[in-house]
Amino acid sequence: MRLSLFNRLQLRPTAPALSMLRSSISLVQNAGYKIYSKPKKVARKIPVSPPSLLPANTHPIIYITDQLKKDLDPTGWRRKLFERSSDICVKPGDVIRVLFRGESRDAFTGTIMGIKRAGLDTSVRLRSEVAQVGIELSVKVYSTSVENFEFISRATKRARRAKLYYLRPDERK
Amino acid sequence: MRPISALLRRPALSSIVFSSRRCLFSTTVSAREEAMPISRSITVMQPPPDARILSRAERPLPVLFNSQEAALSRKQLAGRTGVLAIKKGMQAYYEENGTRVPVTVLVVDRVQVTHVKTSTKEGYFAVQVGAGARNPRNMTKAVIGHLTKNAIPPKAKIAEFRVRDESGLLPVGTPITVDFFKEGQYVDARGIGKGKGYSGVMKRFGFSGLPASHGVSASHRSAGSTGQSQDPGRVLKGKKMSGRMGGEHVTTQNVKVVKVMPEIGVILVKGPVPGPKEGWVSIQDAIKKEDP
Repeated sequence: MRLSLFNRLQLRPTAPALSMLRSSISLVQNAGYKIYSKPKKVARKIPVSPPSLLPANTHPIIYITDQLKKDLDPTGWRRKLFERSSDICVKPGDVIRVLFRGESRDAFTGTIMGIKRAGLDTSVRLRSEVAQVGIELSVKVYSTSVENFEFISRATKRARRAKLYYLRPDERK
Repeated sequence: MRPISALLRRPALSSIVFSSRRCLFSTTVSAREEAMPISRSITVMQPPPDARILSRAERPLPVLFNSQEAALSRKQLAGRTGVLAIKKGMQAYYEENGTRVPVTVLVVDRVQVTHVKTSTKEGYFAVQVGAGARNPRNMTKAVIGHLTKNAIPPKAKIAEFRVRDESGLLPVGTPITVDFFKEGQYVDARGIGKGKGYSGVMKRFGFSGLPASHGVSASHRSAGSTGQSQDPGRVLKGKKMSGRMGGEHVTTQNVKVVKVMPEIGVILVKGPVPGPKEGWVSIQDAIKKEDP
């Protein structure tokens, strides 16, 4: 008790105008000096952060991919054509036609050699023979330059492979 | 501008010439001059009415080349403050015309101005910005107090953005949203690049190494020679050798803002940006492009 009192002693000459100090007097006057104790400091309240704009349980990349997909494919027809679980899904071996936006690019008809599934970068590789010259075209499914896909025919027999690179001519011969 | 004292000491040169010419040649005006007088306009600089010769102590000192004020005027800085963002990864973005743009996803999370630095007090203009949220139990009281005194919640990251002059300063507490940047503008992206660890001389400095065959024994990726012979007789300081690479501060300039998504506080910028995923990236207007 004595030690704490000694620590709190702040010896100052009497100042009648300082009413604020007078209110914090905790000890009796002694020898013409008023003994003051420091006013107790009230801890400042720490403000609470507002919640983040992004939803809590989804990864931002997944959330943004979904948002971008909604802009690029509002009705979801691109997704239905290339999603494995969909009933109208295209499979390797099927023949489809790609229609491009604008008059500069012609439509391309070809056999599906393979589908690479990578979210927004999902692409389909088509092979066609034009004037005895083999042409392959890789088309980004979600691209804005693609206007439409037309389904021409289903494969006669289910391809036993996901990627039909064997359709390419043998270079050894 | 020359000081007044110089003007008072040396009268205008033209006035001397005029008076002497008058003495040397005929004073009569020729007939041609009378018909078509040639205007001899001589400007004599008159000192202002309150002019007086300044003492040496009163004369204004020139701004020193190596003073803070001179340095401030020479610096190439952005006009506006920047923003702190977290790099979340990369994605593909398809523009309306069919172009595919590789974009980096940058999340701008709860960014607020926490402090402002001025030329009078700190010697330069800067805006200190805080982003994210952090548990105050994991922060020092000094940092908590610095934020709480302006009613700002505890932030995960605080960084400073230098600006050109006071027009770029913002009031403390102002929230900065993703709308601060416009689609199509250019920004500089700053971050601490990915660390590569202890890397060899081929990766670190692009050395060619040694041939893969023809008798080379166990030193295909080495640096080869590291100096000359008896003179200097030592390896010079700064010789490029293997060592720790990466983990340094990197700035990528002129990164284009492809899309701004204000509802979720996300900016998509074209191309890569320094740092790993979940790393902090400072984004500010490009200093080498016009102000947006």
